Amino acid sequence: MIELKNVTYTYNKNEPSARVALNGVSLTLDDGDFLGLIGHTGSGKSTLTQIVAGLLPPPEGSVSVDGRDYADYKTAARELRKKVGLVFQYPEHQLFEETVYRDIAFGPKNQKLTEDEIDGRVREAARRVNIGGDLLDKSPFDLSGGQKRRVAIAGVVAMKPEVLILDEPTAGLDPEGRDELLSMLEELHGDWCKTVILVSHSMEDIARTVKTAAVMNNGRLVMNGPVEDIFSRGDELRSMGLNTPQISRIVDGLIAAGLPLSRRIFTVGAAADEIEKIVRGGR
Amino acid sequence: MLRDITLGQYYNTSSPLHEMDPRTKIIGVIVYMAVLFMASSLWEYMLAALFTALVIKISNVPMSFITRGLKPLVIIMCFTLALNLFMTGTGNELFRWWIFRITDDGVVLAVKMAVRLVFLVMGTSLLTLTTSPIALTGGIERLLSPLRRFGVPSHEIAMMMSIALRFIPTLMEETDKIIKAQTSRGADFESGNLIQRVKSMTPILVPLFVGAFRRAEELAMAMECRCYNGGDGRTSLRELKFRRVDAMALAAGILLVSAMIALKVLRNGGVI
Amino acid sequence: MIKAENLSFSYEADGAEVKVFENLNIEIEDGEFVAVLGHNGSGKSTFAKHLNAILLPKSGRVTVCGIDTADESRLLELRKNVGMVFQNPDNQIVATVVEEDVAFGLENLGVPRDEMRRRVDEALKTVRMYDYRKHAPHLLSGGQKQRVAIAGILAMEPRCIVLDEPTAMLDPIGRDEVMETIRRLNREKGITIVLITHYMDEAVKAGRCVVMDKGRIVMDDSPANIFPKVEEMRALGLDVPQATELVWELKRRGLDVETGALRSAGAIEAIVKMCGKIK
Repeated sequence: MIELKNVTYTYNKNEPSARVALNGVSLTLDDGDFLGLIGHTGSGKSTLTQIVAGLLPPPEGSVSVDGRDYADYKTAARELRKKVGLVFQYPEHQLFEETVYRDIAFGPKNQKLTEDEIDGRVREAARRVNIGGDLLDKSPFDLSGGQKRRVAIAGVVAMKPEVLILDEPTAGLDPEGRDELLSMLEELHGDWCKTVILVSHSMEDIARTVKTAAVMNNGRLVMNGPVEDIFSRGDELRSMGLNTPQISRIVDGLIAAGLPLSRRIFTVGAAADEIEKIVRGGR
Repeated sequence: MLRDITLGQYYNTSSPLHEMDPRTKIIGVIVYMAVLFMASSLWEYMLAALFTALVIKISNVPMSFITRGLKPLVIIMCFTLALNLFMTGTGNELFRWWIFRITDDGVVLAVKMAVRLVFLVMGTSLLTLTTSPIALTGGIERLLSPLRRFGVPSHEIAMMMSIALRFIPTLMEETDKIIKAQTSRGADFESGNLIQRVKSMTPILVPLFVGAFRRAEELAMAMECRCYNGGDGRTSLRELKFRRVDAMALAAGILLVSAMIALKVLRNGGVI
Repeated sequence: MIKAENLSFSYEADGAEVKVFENLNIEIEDGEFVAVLGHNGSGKSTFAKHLNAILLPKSGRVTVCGIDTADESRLLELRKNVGMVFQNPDNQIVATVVEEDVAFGLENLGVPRDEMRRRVDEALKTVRMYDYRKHAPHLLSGGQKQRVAIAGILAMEPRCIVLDEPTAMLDPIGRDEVMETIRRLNREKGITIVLITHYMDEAVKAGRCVVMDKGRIVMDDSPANIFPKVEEMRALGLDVPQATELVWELKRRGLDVETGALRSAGAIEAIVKMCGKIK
């Protein structure tokens, strides 16, 4: 469990170019959470993920890990780096080893695991991201774009982090690649990584993958709760430069036209179920 | 630390210095450097200081921005200071310990060199702070163009400089991101001996170079798509024209050099 | 405007020949807005690169604005008429000041300064970036950078703009900005637009959609005729808008609903109509 209390972070502190990226954010990540983090560019979501991953200089406010409060963030950051794996946007741009195998093994090696353990981790991670054993000896630079992305994610997954954060993992993928990646995350969650955070500005991706979500705007955490609650506040989201899935706009329109639908619908399947019920019910 | 380097950064504001023709400023900096190396007496340093202060004032660039550019130079400055302090043999001895000997001449020389270095950095950073990289490269291209006849690729040099300047911020951001990403994978860049540390840079350097090549390739394609065809037959949006500010700068430059020479003559004549 | 005849292209990898496409034929009229769809590796990006001679056909012919792309003597004329916008906004901006970057193409073409000034300002106003003309590009948002890139193309007064996944790296605000700009250029200036994308909500806005798969054109029709073929689209690894999917799903469940809606309003209307009939 990771708990942020009233965390504020300022870039270029004490300089004319100072910019507050996070402003009094409190957030609790419970074990087993599968959280969507939403916000447009510059809303502070990247800063938040980097603080959770222990990668930034100390912020103001307090951070506790597994119920332990840390007086200074630097000690907490060491704990966080052990616990949290962060997959940056376009992670394929960080590949560097001569073979796929060695690139995936980089993290586990840094964790000082034994050779056998490393081998097990690499193979397991590759399997989970759908990278076949025949690719392990290839150079990562010879793979296709989608494969590179998955190898890079495997590099973090192989460390078996308790908390896995992915920043826009589907950016630039085609619909098929995106679907494959999202179902891969669903399988990782709970089974391999206790907690998963999906950072995205695709509301459709959020709607179909996660149960709870947090919304960032101007460095503040403005919404946090079940996905259906968040998408039922469409006007507020739009005022923050965000969208709602097209389906929830259709549902809103149907409600306005007098259909007795619930506002808490945000997938095509659920909408079809409800409409079918109404029609067949003969109302 | 990387952000502290103001050399090569452009500070966007308006001032007579910003309006000046880049060629004037480049020549101005060369003259300024010459004057700095001419200075030797206290009065001459005061003159240089006065001139530097005046130019900074006119430039509208905040002083804090300029002093920040000096921070990365502290090490070099300490080194020159130490070198001059201990290596000067002449003059009266002030302090002695083991093989180290400090003389009053040494102190004066060390201080002079340090001051000179500070002024030098301030003056040259002012050139880039007040001249957009594109104007600067345009100026260099024009100044070098007479050398084209002798096979100096002035346009290509200018283009390369301009693209390098354009991509410095992008690559710095990228470096920062790669470091963080590899840190998140447990990479350790701080412990171990020198060889281990150099080795630990591989996960940063390889992606950085691969990325730079990828960018270069894409940029080259984009430039070709926009009809880039080398330097022949090109025109330029930015007009390079000597204006009144340039004439005034020229006058100021002549005044500075004359004042410096006058001070030297007066000193040699024993007046001051 | 654009005509590809029996276009074939292949490249070599590990000594083997990889065919990207073979005998591709397509014609695009002046002033059209065409979206080219297809999953990654379907050949759509390679096709785009043939339109301004970044790649030349292995066999067959591409003519754009009456210029054969293989005619080297008319290369500059071709590229002036067919502008290209790429995916990564960072890697197509050359200069360190916005207006200087917009001028880059004109400088290359040797346009006189006064004319250049006028065209740069006009292009910046068209993409609504005039207020940012003195800014450094690296401090702009992705959508703004992409609009600067479009202005740089626009200043050359092209007749056609090809955009290769221009919104793939942008957030929703940036995507809207860029799409709005593209549509306006097509509507108000009559510029032919070829938009390579895999966002279906963008393709819906085009006048015509061309779907590519394994180097072949498998569909070529208006969005209203393409997207209701939900199963075919899925088999090609593509999405359909949720509005289209919803009415299709209701129909599949045996409800008497009119299919073919592309946007929210259309789906709402069709469903309300169906409910009205029942009452």
